[in-house]
Amino acid sequence: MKNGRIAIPSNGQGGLDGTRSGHFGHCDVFTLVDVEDSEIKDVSILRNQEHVQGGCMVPVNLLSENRVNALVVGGIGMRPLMGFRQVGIDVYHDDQRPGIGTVVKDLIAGNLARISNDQVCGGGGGQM
Amino acid sequence: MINILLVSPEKSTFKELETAFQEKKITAKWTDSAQNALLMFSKEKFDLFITHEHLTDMTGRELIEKALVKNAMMNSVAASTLSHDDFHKAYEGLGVLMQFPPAPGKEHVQNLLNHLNRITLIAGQQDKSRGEQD
Repeated sequence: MKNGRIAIPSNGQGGLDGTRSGHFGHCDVFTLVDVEDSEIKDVSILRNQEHVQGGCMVPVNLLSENRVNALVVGGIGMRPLMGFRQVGIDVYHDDQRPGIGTVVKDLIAGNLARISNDQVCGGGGGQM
Repeated sequence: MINILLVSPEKSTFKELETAFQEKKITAKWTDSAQNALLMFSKEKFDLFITHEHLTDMTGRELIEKALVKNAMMNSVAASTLSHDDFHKAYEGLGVLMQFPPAPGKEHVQNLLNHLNRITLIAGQQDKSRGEQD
C-alpha cells in the first residue's frame, strides 16, 4: 500500500504498540494509520460505536466517513464484509499476529492478502 | 419513511404484520418467492425485508445472503421456528436484525421499529460526533 488510511480494530487505547481486537464490531477503538509514499505519516485513534444485533453497518459507515481505505481483521461476518466492499474499503486478513504495528508494516509492504468470501465467519468475530 | 418487503409463500402468513405496519402509516409490499424479491431489490430501494425461513425457491437464509451481496445496507429479519441458539448459529454473520416467530404479530412490529430506531440513534451519534470534529 503506497498511500491511504489503514484501520485496525484495537483493544484499549490502540496505537502502533497496542494489540488488535479479534472482533471488529466490538473493538474499543480503531487505530487509524495514514500512509504516504509507503511510509507512516500519522497515527490517530477513532472510538468505536455501540454494537447492537444487526448493527453491522454502523462501523462500516463510521470507517467510510473517516475516509478509511483498508481494514485488517482477524475475522468478519459476511454482511459487514459486503458492506465494506460496497463502500470501497479493502478488507485484509491476518488471524495470527496480535500486534498492530506488525500488521500495519506488512500491509504497507504488500504482504497481507485480501480476505476471501470463504473466509467469512459468524458474528464478525475471529481468533488471533 | 421506510420501505419494507415481506417475503413468504402465503400472503396470510404475514397478514398481521402488514396490518400493523399500515396502522403505523408504513407501507409493506409482499411477494411470494425469493427470486421475485431479488428482482424487486434490483428495481427499487428497500430499507428492510422480512422473510419466512422456508420459501418456495430457496431458504430465507439463502435469500438474505444473496440480498446482502446486492446491498448490504438493507436490513433483514427472518421468521423462523429455530430456537434462539440454533437461530444465532444458523444466521451468524448475516447481520439479521432479529428473529420473528413463524406468524408474527403487532408486538413484533413494535419491537422491530424500536430496534431500528436504536440503530438509527447510534448512527446519528456517529454523525453528530463527526460534525463536532469538522
